[in-house]
Order: sequence, then structure tokens, then C-alpha cells
Amino acid sequence: MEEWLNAAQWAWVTYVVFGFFSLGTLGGALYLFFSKNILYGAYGLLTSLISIAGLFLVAGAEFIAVSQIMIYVGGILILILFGIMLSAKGKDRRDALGVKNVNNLASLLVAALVAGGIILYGFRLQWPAAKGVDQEINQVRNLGMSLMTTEVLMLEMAGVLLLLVLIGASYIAKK
Amino acid sequence: MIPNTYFLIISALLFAIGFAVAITKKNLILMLMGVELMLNAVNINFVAFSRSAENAGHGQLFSLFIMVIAAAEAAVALAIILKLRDEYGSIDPDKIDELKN
Repeated sequence: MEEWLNAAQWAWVTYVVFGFFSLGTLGGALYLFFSKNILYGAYGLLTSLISIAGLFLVAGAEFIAVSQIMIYVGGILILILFGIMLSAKGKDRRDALGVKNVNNLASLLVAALVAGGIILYGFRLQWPAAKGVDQEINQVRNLGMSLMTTEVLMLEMAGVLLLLVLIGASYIAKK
Repeated sequence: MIPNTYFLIISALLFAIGFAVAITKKNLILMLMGVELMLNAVNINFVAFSRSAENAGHGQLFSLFIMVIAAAEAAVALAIILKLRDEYGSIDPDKIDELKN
């Protein structure tokens, strides 16, 4: 698709889509930082995660984008929402739902320093230009072949880790 | 074709915001959300730079494994948070200080 986009002088559409999704990403994250309600903050995180899936699509990684929505939005975020609702009960619900900030200015300053440092360093680095994702290659098939041949050890380790986490989390959370 | 630098800027800003969330908030669940934002910033970089690689699948596989680790981390962290809440009646990390004395 990108081929004809470039050929027909429509490349700016990609930039508009990229700008839209990066605005959503940063806006959701900033809302999470400035929100006074933890549940609304979780919705900011939702906006951010879905926009990041859009950024993955712009970068030509459709399988990662779908996994991002399935794992992060469908799994982790729902888990976090359940955590919020389960910890906001009884007489201490104000304590669990309220958001208390410490060192607001100092931490924003440190964060700005981190971001500025990374961006400055990134501008100084030299790397080969992105080649553009070849649409002829089937990305999902490529990923599956890698997982089953060269990266099979990592796949097995991820499976064992998930089993350990399943057992450990249910053991910790039991009454 | 979006240049890698644009992705780098977005992910640097996202990493900084996640870092600020993780160190500012006095609420364990919000700190966990900040860590998730930082992991996502790293994922954006992996996917963006995988476009310049010989085999784009390798960078994408790395971000897939990061997602798996993040899911595992969130499950364990929320179990611990719920347990701490039962134990101390609070999820403010400053109030959880029994090990100090």
C-alpha cells in the first residue's frame, strides 16, 4: 500500500496518520499524569495504548499492532481496572481511589531532562534509512517461522514463565 | 516512509512521561501504569528500527516477548498489590513500612 501512496504524491497522508496517533499516545499519557482520579487515568492509559497500536501499523507491523490491542488493552488494562475496583472497597476507598503526587515539579524536570537527553543523543546517531516494509513478504508467516525455528527456545521460556506466573499469582492472591 | 527519528522522539517523550508517572504518584497501581508506559515506549523503538534490519521479524519478535513479560509482570504485581491492601489497608507505598523497624 505504501508503494502507491508514495508514487501518487500522497505520502503526506502517512504523516497525518502518524501525527494523529502520536498525539493520542502523548495526550493519553499526559492525561494519566495530570488526572486526579485513578479510574480516569486508566482511561487515559487506554487511549495511549490503542494509539500505540496505530503507530505500529504506521511502522508496518500489523501483527504487533493486533497483539498490542489483544494483550495490553484486552488483558493488562482490564486486569488493572479490576485491581482498581477490587482495592477500592471498604472504609479505605478514598485512600485507594485518590491520587497523591509528590515532588511534582522535580519529577517533571527530571523527566524533561531524560527526554531531552535521549532526543539529542538520537539526533547525533547515524543509522541506515528505513527501507520500507516490503509488502511482498508475509510478515506473519515470517514471524511464525522465526518462532518455530531460530527463536524456539525463547518461545518455550516464555511459556514456562507464564506458567510460573499463573501459579505464583494465584498463590500470592489466595486468602 | 516515516523517518526513524520521529519514532525516536515520540518514544523518548512517552518514556519520560511514564518515568514521571512512576516516580511521582503515591499509589502502587498508578506506578504500575507508569512502568507499562515505559515498556511501550521501548516497544515503539524496537518496531521502528526493525524496518531498517535485514529481517524485520527479529525486532518485532523482541517487542512481542516484551509484551509477554509485561503481562506476567502486571499479573504478579496486581496480586501483590491486592495482598498488601488486605494486609495494610492502603496502597500508598509510604505507608507500607513494616520491614523498616
